[in-house]
Amino acid sequence: MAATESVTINTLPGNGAGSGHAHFGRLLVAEWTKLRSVRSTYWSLITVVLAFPFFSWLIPFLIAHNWNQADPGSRAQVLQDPVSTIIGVGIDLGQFGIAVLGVLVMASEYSTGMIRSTVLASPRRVRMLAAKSVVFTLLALVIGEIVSFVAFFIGQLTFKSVLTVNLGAGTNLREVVGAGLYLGMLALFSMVIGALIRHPAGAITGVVLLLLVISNIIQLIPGAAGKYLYSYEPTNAGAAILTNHTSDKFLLTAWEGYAVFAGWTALLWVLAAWLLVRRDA
Amino acid sequence: MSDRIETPAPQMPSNPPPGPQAGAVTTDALGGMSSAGYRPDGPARRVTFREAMDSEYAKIRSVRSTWWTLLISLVVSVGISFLIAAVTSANWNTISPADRASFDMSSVVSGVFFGVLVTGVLGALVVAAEYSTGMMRTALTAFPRRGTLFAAKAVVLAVVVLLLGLVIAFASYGLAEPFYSRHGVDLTLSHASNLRALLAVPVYLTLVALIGLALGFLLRHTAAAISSLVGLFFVLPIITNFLPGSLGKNVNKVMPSNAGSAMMTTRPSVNGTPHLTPLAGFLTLLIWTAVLLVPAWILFRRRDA
Amino acid sequence: MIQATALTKRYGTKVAVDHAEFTVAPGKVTGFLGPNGAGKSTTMRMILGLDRPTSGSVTINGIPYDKLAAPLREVGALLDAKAVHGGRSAYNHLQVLAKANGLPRARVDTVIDLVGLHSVAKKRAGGFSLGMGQRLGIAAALLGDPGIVMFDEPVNGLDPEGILWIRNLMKALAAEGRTVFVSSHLMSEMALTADHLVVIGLGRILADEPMAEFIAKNSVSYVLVRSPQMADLAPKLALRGWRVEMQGDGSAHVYDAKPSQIGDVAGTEQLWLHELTLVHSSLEEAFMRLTASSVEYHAGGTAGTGTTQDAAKPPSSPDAPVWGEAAGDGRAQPPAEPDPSGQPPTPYQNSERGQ
Repeated sequence: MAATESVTINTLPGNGAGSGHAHFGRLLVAEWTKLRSVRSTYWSLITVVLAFPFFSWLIPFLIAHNWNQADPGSRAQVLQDPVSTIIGVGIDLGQFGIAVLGVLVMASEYSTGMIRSTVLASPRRVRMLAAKSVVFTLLALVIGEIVSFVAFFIGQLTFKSVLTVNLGAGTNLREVVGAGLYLGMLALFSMVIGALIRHPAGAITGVVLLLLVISNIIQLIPGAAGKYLYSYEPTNAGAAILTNHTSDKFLLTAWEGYAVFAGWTALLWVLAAWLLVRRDA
Repeated sequence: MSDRIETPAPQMPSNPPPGPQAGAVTTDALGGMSSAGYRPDGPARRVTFREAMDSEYAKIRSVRSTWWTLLISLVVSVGISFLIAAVTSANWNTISPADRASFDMSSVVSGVFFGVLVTGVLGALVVAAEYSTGMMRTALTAFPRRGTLFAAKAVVLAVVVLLLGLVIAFASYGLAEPFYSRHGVDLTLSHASNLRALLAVPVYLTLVALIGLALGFLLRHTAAAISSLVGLFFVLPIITNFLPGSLGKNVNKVMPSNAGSAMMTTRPSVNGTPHLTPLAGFLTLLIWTAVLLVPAWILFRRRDA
Repeated sequence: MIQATALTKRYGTKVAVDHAEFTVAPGKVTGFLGPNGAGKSTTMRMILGLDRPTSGSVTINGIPYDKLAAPLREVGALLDAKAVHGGRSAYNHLQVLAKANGLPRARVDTVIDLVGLHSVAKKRAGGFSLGMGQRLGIAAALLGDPGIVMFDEPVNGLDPEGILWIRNLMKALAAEGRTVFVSSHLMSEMALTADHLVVIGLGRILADEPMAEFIAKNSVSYVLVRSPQMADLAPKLALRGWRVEMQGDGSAHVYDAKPSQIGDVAGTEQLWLHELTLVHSSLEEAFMRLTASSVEYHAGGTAGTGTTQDAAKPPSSPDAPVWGEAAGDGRAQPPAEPDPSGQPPTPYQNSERGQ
């Protein structure tokens, strides 16, 4: 092996001008490289990018196809919130891709041992967590917005024969932009859950149970307590931005809901950062 | 240059170090496997299926994730069954007669619909975690007959989940049944159909755990196996729901989660949606399990570990 | 320069590292020796800021690791456990680390070539053999061209060629003026590479001294003399001031003398000799005695580190060191070995803070 011939190290150019410093900007680049260089990123994102627009075509297609046979009640439902009809199912399913990726971004650092290398290169752990959060949230947000708009336009075209959906009308624009915002926040939220639980299987199961089970079951709790729990559950609150008609159990407006989701995420982020610093890597 | 290497000559230490370190290889070091212990004399015996099962049982028992998944599955299943029963009972007056007539054993164990995800995760973890930790190589060195190892893993998992399922079934029944029977829903276990529906719970959970196990063997990656499981049980039915006409209805009926629900019902339809008969549901789920387990078994025997 | 002050780590009631005090100086290879479970890895993880000390501190050139501005330029470390995402290629793994510290892209290629991973650099690290994984870890350690290099059990999984390579690498790094800190549980391995020795047992520092001193103190050698006229020979040898221990079988162990000197005496006195053998006692044994003593006796005397005396355990304690490897040469070898590469070490010129 060539290496045995020479042990001499080529020295790096002088250590001046901040070379070698673990700046925030450099951590951003490093985290971006991490995301780019594993397959799970592509698998998870492909799920969202394919599933979301597909259902935004399928649902309007089926509705348009059966429009003449449909009863007035279901027609009125569609007409009341056409954007929600277009993006609802797509985002319900597509969000799992983002959530799983979010969990993996942090939890796989622990399951593979990569966290040790990460913390050696960036011993200021909170700075590392911040860089990771920024890079991953931005990626999810950008992809989320692009996919949401693509999905909307696909649905708009598919609906054309029976109804016109105008992006500028009512809350339509907010709902489309909100779909991307929701995915971006969900990305960060799941990442934080991954940082707290540190075990990919546990964290994925936790997030799936929250999205699929707890967020729905919680509304069965009777009385005011049930309404509050249902409304302030992070993903329910966040999803208010995706629609213009919430159930009568939901106590918040769209942006209030999104703020609650962001608040939960921020709170758990601080907890994760505190634990990251305290716990042995 | 390599001729300059001073290879350390093997040499027995002239004095063994004092203290307990002498002969320090204990049964603990072998992870409590039944084949532990040094047998100086006698012929080496062929390790049996029973020992493979003992070993698998020791493995499943000795990791925390097993206990976590069992606990969460129990809490989710029983808790949600109870919650739904309590809420239904409280709102009984507002429920339409048609809906009232649709309550049966599947309502009593409604939490199982969600708890099943967690037992599936356990099945996936039992295998995928062995790949991610490298334990699979160790396991195969200790027990190279892969078909038998596969069977031992499946049997141990099935027994563990079956027992958990019995606990879930009767705990749910104990907690949720009074809420329905006080409104006149017939749920007595002396009726064979009710008992059969309740006993379908452990069977359903076990089959789903085996599906998780198969996904673990096929994908060998924890996150991928769990995501596929979620897809199969919670996403696929939503998709097939949109298929048009009677084709859509028929496809939707045989989705694993719907086939499983059919096993726990005693009525021909739920909320007007027809489903398979309990026996057909069971057979359908059995086919799903086999369709995943058989390729998993074949690939496990063929692929490099 | 690595400096540990009263460094302590407790896990629940178990003390993994107990008031460790030591200094690792630049320009030489410092061996960190101790049986499995003695606290070597925990100590190294605390140096690197991975584990938080329960009390006490450890600094890199006077600064805790997590306050370093350019960590990889100052310290490179190979840890015993895997620290790579198995789904990422070796090249991308090193890129991630290089980018985090703003190191040039070319540096990644340099270290990949240096450790001989060029042909597999684009392969997923999950499929690497133990030895390849070890080489990737070494590449990561050298990435920032650091002034301090730490290796935790570096020869694990390496083939003989790789072992020779890493030994020479460590010596060359030290000769360039870097601080090299390497852990091992094999005395024989340390004897070949280290200039200075820090010995740890049950979390306590038992020795912190130059290798030569440790060998002089702990390695006893004698000449085995066998003669049919031993009764006549022994007094003549004793006359020279050499210690002679008669053995039951007509042989004697002669200390402080060379075989040639004994042969000369026998020749002068016209006495027959049947055997004349130089025997080294095993350094490995000396090391085992030393670490065992941390169990049997209070360690304070040996190490002078002011350890808590009541923490000493009787020899039957389950916490006693367990020896994984019984192999190993065990004989004292001259620590200085000529550099087979024949290349003069490049003067080391990193870092304004260069020690």
